[in-house]
Amino acid sequence: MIFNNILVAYDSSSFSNRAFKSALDVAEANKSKITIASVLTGVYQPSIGFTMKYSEEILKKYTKTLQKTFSSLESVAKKKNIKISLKLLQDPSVSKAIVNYVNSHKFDLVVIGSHGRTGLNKMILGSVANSVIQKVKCPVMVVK
Amino acid sequence: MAVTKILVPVDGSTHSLKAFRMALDIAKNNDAKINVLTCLEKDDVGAWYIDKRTNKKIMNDAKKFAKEFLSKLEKPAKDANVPISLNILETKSTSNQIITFSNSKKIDLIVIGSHGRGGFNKFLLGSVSNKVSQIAKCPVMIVK
Repeated sequence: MIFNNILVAYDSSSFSNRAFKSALDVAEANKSKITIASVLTGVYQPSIGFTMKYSEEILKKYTKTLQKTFSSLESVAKKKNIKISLKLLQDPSVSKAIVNYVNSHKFDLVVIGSHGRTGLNKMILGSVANSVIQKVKCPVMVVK
Repeated sequence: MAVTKILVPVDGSTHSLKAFRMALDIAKNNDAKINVLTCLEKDDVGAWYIDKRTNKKIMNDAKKFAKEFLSKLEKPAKDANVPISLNILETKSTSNQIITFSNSKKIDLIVIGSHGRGGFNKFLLGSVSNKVSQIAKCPVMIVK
């Protein structure tokens, strides 16, 4: 089995940066395409109410910063001649968004960092990594 | 991340054989060595109240059976030109044994099936693969 489509769950934490690096290594060996998925969760705002909706301002701000970090990743991938694309998902639940996106598209491998931005405990897995591993239908690589 | 040593825990289930096949592909691409590990659980053997010698006999039979099974894996590895080493260990806890083995032999990647012989639930992870993915210090690839 060859990995043609690789998805990297990315949140700009150090763990996800390491996941991206090892995804690059896998992609180089298999000549595969990398998709970077980031999830924008809603932010609680009193002006909107309790429904965690997206205000356009914040959404713009987030996409801008994400595209900035993506362009730096893109330049790294271009040096190695690897095709790369960015996918922004919107969902209040990060793990649900990733799982749904992966299961509804044809990915051969998901690469994910063991912890995200909010991981404290270094012994066990982060919550997003854990639920993605359990629910996704394709092979998953957990990078520590 | 240069992968030179891959650990594949095999228990004879279809998931573990799938993991072995995938590990072969990865090893071929990276010129890596494969360690196959089978753990025989001591606690499982329930014949201690009959005769102490029965236990030993059961373990020996299990070892013979495991050796026979693992020797079947040698041929596809030889065809792919991948060096392989077979390990059969007696242990009290399979997951702990896999983790200590990976630490002591400086394994770069563990490729493990999502379920073993005891898995009923097809949506979640098996207990051994869950524990290994959480506690192991190297990247873990989970094959479904």
